[in-house]
Amino acid sequence: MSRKYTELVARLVKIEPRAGFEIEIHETLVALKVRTARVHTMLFGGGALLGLGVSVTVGVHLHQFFAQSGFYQYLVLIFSGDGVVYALWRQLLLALIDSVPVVTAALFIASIMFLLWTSMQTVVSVRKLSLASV
Amino acid sequence: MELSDAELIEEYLHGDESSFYEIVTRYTNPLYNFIARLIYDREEAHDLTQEVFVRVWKNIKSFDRQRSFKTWIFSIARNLAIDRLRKHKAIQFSDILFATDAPYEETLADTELLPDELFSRTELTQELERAFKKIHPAHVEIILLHLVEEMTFEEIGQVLGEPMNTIKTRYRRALAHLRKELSVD
Repeated sequence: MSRKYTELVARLVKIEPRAGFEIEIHETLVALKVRTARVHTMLFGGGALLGLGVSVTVGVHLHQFFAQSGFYQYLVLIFSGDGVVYALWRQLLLALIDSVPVVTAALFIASIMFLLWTSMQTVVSVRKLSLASV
Repeated sequence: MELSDAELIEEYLHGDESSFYEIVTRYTNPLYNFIARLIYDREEAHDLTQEVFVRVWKNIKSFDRQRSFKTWIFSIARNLAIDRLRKHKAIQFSDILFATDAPYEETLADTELLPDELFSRTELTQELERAFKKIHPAHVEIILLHLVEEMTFEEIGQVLGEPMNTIKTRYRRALAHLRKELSVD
């Protein structure tokens, strides 16, 4: 098939979409972005609330545990003077470790991290939502 | 100076939303033309073209920027069009693909030129419309990608997921079929 002919085919077979189609695509994408940002905001916002609830509950529990275990008495020793810490640092450290409720503390840290992460994601989603809505 | 696809994607991923709309502007007509020619339904081609951009938007972060964006977006369009054809059972797409993978017969070689007077005929556009409806979508797509989108056979191979030699063979066969349909009229 000649070059001239194939060029002609290339020119003639083009079909144009309806007028304003690009704007329709643009609007579809904006609507999609808004919907996605809303879903993310709800999910991360819910997650942040859950994280807050868990953090407070575990935090209270941790505080009670520390109060009962005598941890605060060890803690006071640290502030009572450099000499005590310097002389008895090993015993003090072991006693501190011994009195720390590892599982509860880990749960507390995890819940705080989760709270921070979901809060940050919520802020990002809200920002996306406000940008997409413009 | 016009930015390349890769540069637009880079800018979009760095927060410039307008870059994505530049991509939309750049590819709306070519994709629409490609899809509409494959599915023979201009109205539904609008929906599928939109869907292509939605998919691109959803997956652009995972797009391998070492690859050609054009072949990627056309492969999405092509997959959507084939899915639509399969749903409507308009054709058995795989049949023609297997059939056209057969060795090319030189008897189909396109040495015969069309009569010169054909170029002057005002109804050529309509003739092409008719011919395009008669030839198989597997041939339509390859003609469109090579002649209209000016893709190389290698690029077409990436879009269709086929070796370059198969594409070359299929292209020549597609042109032969097109010529045959036009000659009959």
